[in-house]
Amino acid sequence: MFKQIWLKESKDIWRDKKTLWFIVLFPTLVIPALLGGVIYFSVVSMQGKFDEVLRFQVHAPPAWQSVIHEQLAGHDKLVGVESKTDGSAERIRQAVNQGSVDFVLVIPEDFEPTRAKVSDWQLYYNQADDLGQFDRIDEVLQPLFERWQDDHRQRWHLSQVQADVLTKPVRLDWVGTADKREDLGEKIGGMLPYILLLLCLMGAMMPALDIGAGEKERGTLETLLLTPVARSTIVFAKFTVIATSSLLVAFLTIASGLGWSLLLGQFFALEALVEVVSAIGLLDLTLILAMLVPISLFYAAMLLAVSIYARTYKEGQNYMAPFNFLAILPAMVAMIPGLEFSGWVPWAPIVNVTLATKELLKGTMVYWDLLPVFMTNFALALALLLFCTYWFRREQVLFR
Amino acid sequence: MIEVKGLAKRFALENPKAGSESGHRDPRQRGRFFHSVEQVSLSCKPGEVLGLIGPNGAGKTTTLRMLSGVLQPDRGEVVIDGEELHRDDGSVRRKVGFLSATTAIYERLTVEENLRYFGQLYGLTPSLCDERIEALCSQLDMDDFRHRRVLDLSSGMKQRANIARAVVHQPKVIIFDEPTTGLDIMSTETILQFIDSQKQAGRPVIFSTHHLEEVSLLCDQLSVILVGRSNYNGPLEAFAGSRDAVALRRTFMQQHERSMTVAGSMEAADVQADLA
Repeated sequence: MFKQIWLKESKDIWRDKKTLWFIVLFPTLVIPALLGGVIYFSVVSMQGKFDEVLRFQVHAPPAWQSVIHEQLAGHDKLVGVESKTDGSAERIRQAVNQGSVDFVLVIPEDFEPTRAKVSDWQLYYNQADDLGQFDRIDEVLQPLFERWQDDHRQRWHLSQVQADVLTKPVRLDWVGTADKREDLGEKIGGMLPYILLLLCLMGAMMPALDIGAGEKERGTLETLLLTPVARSTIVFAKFTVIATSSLLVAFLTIASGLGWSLLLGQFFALEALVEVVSAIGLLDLTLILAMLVPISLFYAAMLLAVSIYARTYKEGQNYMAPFNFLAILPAMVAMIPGLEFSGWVPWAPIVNVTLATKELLKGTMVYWDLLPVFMTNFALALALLLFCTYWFRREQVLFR
Repeated sequence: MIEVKGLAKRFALENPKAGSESGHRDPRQRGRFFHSVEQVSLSCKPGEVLGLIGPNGAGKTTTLRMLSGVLQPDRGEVVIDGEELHRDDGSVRRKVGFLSATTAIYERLTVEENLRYFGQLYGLTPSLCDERIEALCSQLDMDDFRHRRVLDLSSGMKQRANIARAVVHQPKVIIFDEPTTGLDIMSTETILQFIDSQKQAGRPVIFSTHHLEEVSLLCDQLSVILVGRSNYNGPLEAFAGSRDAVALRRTFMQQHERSMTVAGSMEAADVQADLA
């Protein structure tokens, strides 16, 4: 009887356009298209900002005004504008903030490069608008600074090495030991399990509402209860359909995510991402998917219990909102900086899945440590399934 | 043969104060519970049609739900062919064919898919299932729409498909709760003819209705439920002295008014008890 109910429930929910939309089209097309679109427009927008021509003003002693101005104007993306400000800090801030000029360089009146004194220059710019486009100011002024530094060195009869030692006696070379996979895994590894868990929840929600509260509202649940099939069999079949759908969403998301990453990597400069995706072995990928099994079972049992209690589809949606928050909260823990997969974490359901996924993505997982992850989450799912079965036998729940 | 003895069923109230605040407390509301059915007995022999009548909220649907097996009675028993329905692992439930306003069929499946599914759940073999589907589609004029999804059918077509669902497993007892409510004349006629055919086939049929013309036309026995209790059980003719629908209505209204007076005095006694 389980098989018949499972097949019927599956056929029933697949004929619902909402299910098709949320379980297949959403993870495979809509989410990648949205993410891809956001990334594409961010890149285009940043590139546009970076290529923007910056307008500048220079306030310098008369002897140096044209030298500095010409030096800056030598860059093809810097253009000088006529100075209309009196050079006071307040006027300059106002001009920059109003956008009549992008930056203003202020050089003290007593500046003389031959003097043995460090000169304090000021560069006014809107730092909130800085996406790296202001770096070109340093680049274009650097040769001038180096020329003046060289004049000092020769005047003081110093060799190049002596001058270098004076300005920077130690050169510290930072050597990173993490490979690209670990590095990128640490950066994106917190976000990915959160998205996966969210999708598992979403994949379970639609069918849970439909075959629990939806069936109650449409009157088909009572028809099913008339049959001689044991209520535990009915619950188990419904539960399995929900869990399958939840897992399907997660699986499709991972598959489409990998596919889209590799595809987009061909068109955008995402070599590092492609390298990381290629480096995640089949075993690690299988383990990430396997950990989603108990999570899907847990969500399926929880949402089915909530859905059965509700009188209508809408009431079910209202009840599910706070439960969703409870289910998602532990997933957010993975994004807390510094929290690692050790100590109590491997024994905390859901939280352990998110952090273990992060470790697997980084390639730093000790596989034996996954044992408590599976044990705790399967135990939680089983407990909820038993509760769901008990819940489904109660007339007060079914015939509210 | 179906025999129902002393059925009672109560439900816990979500908001026990709601009834007393409105000032119209049903005497069946006591403490945290609403005693929907307090004492209902009836019996229906093979080849008989029993009409169950009573005003809205009298306890008809709760009684029929207990007869179908979906609700467990707090007290009393339902015996079908000598076997107690609620002490069973589900096999006695196969003997009941039940239809009510709250038992629908799956709208995203076709009529035939629905019938096959419920046939399977009642343990029919695939060949027997096919045989039954053919026979029911022919008997209930469903051949034209058997391959259409239920969602696309009219309410009359849906009701016919639902009746076929209720009897696909060839039950020993047929229980219909207001089967003609909201249907057009043609669909009502088909259903009444179907009930009659079941009677001719020697099955006991229990059906509840608000249409006394249907009772007058089809029933051999009558059971009246008022305020959760059996008010009358017996031959139809004996209730009003004739099968005429007008006489049935007049007698029913007299019985109803009498029961309301009794219920009113019970409520007054309850209020006095509360005040004391």
